[in-house]
Amino acid sequence: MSNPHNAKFISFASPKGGVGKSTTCLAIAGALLAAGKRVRIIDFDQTETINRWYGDSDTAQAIPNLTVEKGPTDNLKDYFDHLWETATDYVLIDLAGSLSDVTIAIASFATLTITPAKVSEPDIIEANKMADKMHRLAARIGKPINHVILLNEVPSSISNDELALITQIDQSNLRRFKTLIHRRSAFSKTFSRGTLPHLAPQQDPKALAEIDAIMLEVGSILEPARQKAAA
Amino acid sequence: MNASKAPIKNLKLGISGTLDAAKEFSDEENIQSFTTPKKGAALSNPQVEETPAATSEGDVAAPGTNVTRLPRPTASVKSGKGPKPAPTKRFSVDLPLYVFDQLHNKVHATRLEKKEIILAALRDGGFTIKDVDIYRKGKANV
Repeated sequence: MSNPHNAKFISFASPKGGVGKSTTCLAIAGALLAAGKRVRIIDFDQTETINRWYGDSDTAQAIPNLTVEKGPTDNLKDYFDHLWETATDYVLIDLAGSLSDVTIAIASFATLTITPAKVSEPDIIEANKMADKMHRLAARIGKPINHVILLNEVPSSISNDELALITQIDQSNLRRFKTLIHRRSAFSKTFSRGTLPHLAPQQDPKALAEIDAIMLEVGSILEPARQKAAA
Repeated sequence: MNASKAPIKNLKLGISGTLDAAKEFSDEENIQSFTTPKKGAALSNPQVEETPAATSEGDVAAPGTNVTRLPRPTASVKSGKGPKPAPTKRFSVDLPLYVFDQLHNKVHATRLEKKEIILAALRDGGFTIKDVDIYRKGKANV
């Protein structure tokens, strides 16, 4: 199912808050912008983290090819229909930290849904719940859903318990990005300074390398989706 | 041959069908609605009907997981007949703080939403805006 302008919709969704949806969304937005892409971010989170990030920062508003808007709270079906028909380039959708009908609706047409999670039992349980819903939604709507877990805020010194959790994920049928995003100041600076890792004046090569590796994985997911749509 | 032509099929293109299926899925799975009920809607809005909270087999947490289920919305709004609101586009502007304060006070005084007050003011200023696009369903035109 291809939209008229071949836009790529990437949603960031988790039933749990505080897992890094907005941070990841902005990190990926920065990588796309640095690659010369146009990015539209729609913030559906009631906390308006990204909307506030953009509105409060002259630095953020000066980033070319980036637009940020707040998602509506009513007439959602009309909004999604219109979005599907008119969107171009990359549309990143940051969702609230809860499982709602909006999460489900967006996942039903998104090219990719990313669920960030820390390497902790509560985050992984919720990511698993999300994966389960996506699996059942895919069966219901009769089309595959690209849902991938992104492990982030991984400490530099990983414990045996955390390794065991990652092993459990890998032994399950959960799909995750192979790249781990570690806890780095480059990511927290997104909010404290209004910059994006890829566009910051002082860049952290290790952070950029991790995001670039994620982007390669994202590309390999989006590309087959585009080819299928063209077929 | 003068047989009447079969009408052209009205194809359901786009994502409307998918969204319908997603909505049905959300309802079946008892997934909460994102749209926040209006304050006092259950008491004052005659179009709101109470529905009992319900559980289904899908609400049972898997063994070993400690999953807190979100409550099912306790009120749903009947979809009434009549004109539908036009599609909207989100648009944000910076208001002078004193204007924002006045707007805030007006919201409290009239119990209207900011959007309703702004759209009504635009119409007073000569813009063509239908009632259905200004006021919430069941809300009197103040």
